[in-house]
Amino acid sequence: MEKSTGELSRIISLGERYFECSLSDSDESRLRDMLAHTTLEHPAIDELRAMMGFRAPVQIGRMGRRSGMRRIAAGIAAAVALVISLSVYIIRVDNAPTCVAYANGVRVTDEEEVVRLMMADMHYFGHGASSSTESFQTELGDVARMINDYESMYPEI
Amino acid sequence: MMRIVRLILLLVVLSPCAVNGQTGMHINRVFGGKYISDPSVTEVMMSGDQRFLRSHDLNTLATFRGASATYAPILQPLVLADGAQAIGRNVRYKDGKLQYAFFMLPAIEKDGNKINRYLYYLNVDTGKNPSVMMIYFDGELSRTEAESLIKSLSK
Repeated sequence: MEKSTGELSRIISLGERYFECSLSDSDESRLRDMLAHTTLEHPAIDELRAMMGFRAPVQIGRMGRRSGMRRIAAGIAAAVALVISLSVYIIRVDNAPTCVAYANGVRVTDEEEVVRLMMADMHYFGHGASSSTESFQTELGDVARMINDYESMYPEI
Repeated sequence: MMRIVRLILLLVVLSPCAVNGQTGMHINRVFGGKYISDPSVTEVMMSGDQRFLRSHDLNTLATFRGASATYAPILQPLVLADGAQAIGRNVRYKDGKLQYAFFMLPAIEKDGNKINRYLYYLNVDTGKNPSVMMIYFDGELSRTEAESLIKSLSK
């Protein structure tokens, strides 16, 4: 308490001399240092800070730092919100039932018609696949016959 | 800050991958009505809660059919690129062209369930209407069940 009173009286005393323009450079520097670091609150200190151009920069500095932190926090919050929204959207889009067909240049969404078109294509696929398998089996048969013929030309050892 | 941005970008990129078996496949490039202006093209895409899919234990079913001369050069490299990762295959070439292909693709996990993925390709470049066709489907069905499904649907 006594320390605070002493500090306050020193600041006021230096301040009075500052207003009288009787402070030496080193005393002015000491006063500035005290005003910058003191934790005391007093109208005289505020007035001195204002006169010596302290208050505004200090406040701006604090505000700048605060707004900077706020900006970063807001940026992170916005990014997190964006990721969550995107994920929810993607999951909803991917899980959303899709039933669509394009045929003869027309978009079809009626499930029965989509299934009918798909079945027609499946039928085509089945027919083509079995033809392909048959021709493959025929080729395999030909190869087997050729091997047999070749082997029959030579007696078994 | 850059770390956060990278993490966010990674999440955005990865989040869809865990959702759909067809996501990220090369064959996706032909779907979505891209060739709707060509009357020779038939494209079907079914996924999600559909009666037809439910009745066949499927999650997704997609088919594409188009004129062989036009679409075989487009489909063949896409199918082979996806098939390169296959864990089971049956592939036949004729005259230097892919004629028939069956690929069992690596399974994925969705909601704790194993989802098997199958890809078929057929190019019939002879006959009245030479066509190329591709079928993709995924679900919990086994390879034997998948083959039975194709047989039953194509009858």
